[in-house]
Amino acid sequence: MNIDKPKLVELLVDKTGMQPEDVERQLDQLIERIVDAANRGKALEIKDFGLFYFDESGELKFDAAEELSTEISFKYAGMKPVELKPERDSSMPPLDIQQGNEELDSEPDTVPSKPITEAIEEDDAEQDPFGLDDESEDDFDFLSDIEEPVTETEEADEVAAAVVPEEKPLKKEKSSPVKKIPPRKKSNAGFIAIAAILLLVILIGGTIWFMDTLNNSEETAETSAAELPVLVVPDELSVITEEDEDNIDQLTAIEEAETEDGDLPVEQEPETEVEEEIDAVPATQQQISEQPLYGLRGAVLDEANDGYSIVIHSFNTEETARTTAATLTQDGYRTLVNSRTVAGNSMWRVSVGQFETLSDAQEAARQLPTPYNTQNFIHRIQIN
Amino acid sequence: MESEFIIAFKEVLREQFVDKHKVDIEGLGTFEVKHREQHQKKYDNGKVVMIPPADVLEFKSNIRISNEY
Repeated sequence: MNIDKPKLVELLVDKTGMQPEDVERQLDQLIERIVDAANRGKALEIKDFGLFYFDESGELKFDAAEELSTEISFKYAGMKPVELKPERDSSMPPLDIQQGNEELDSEPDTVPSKPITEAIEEDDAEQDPFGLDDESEDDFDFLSDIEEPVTETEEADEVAAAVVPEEKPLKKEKSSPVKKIPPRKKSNAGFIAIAAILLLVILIGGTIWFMDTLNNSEETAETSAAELPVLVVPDELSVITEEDEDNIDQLTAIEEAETEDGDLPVEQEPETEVEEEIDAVPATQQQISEQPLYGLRGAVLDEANDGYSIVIHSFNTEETARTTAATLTQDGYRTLVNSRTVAGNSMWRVSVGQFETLSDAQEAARQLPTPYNTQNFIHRIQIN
Repeated sequence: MESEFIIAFKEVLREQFVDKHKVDIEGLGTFEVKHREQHQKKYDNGKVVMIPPADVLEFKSNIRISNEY
């Protein structure tokens, strides 16, 4: 169907309720402004609609805004470009060879050494900090500084003893005489690296432990001081804890009731003890203040009207649309009713949920009860 | 110009686009929604990407820049 300017004016009159002359005048004004702005080398943007501008060749162009593009292409929303695999014959074999070489070179060095360092680190972390820190607590900096180098050399010896026997069988498995020499050189460097890492770990561990013990001693001093007033008024404290327990009971009771009601993660004030009241009107008012901005269920939020909704009914008359919407609202859905002009007839659309993104809405639409999870479509929320 | 009019203008056009109607605004240009089939796109680096189908809005205009600097 082709919509020309008179037809467009007609539609605008239907939409706004303004006088046809008024609409025509405003439309002319808008066109004038677009062309005028473009002439001055500027782009005129209509928010959530698009951008009018002159390109290099001096032709008037229009770029649709993202919101408009996604709505027009709503059928294909969420489809993303897929990279197809390149042909295997040409590209894959060289990659395999490279990977194979890397594995051969790296295995003797890294694979055996990693587990050993981990094991040693674990052992030392358990043993050494205690020894160090006991000394450092007693004798402070002088002794600890002197004694650390001694422990390092011992550890370095331990590492050497531990690594050498385990590497030899591995090399025998590989049985490549040419490669035996370079790994050994590397392994020497590896010992130094391992010793250095161990040194660092011990130093850091020791200082952290020492700091912790200092802090703890301070904290214990503070808590012991803070415990004094508590001892003076024990009655008040016990009263408060009892109340808290009561509150927790009420909260859990209400949460259980709500999960049965509609899986809403909504908290309620502990005063509403009667579970049946959750369906009643005052409860929904509380839900408005605490429910998430977007979602399928709950009450309709005006602030969430910039999102998307799932249309599940379309009626010719407003009355049937309103009654259907009322039953849906009773079932706990956020229900919206609005009118659209389709092929000259105004249709009343009943939609559920308010969603921030199209994909959120699609996800929720799949989880609707059976007649609706297949028979629906998603549109942008519009307020009439 | 009233913002009410702009909002109505946007909504009317949006409805027409979704219904796949061609909108011809005299003095401005023609809006038309076209369907683009899914197709393969080859990049220079040999990567081949399958582009999904889409409905895209096309705008054509006879208006040309009037006073070039």
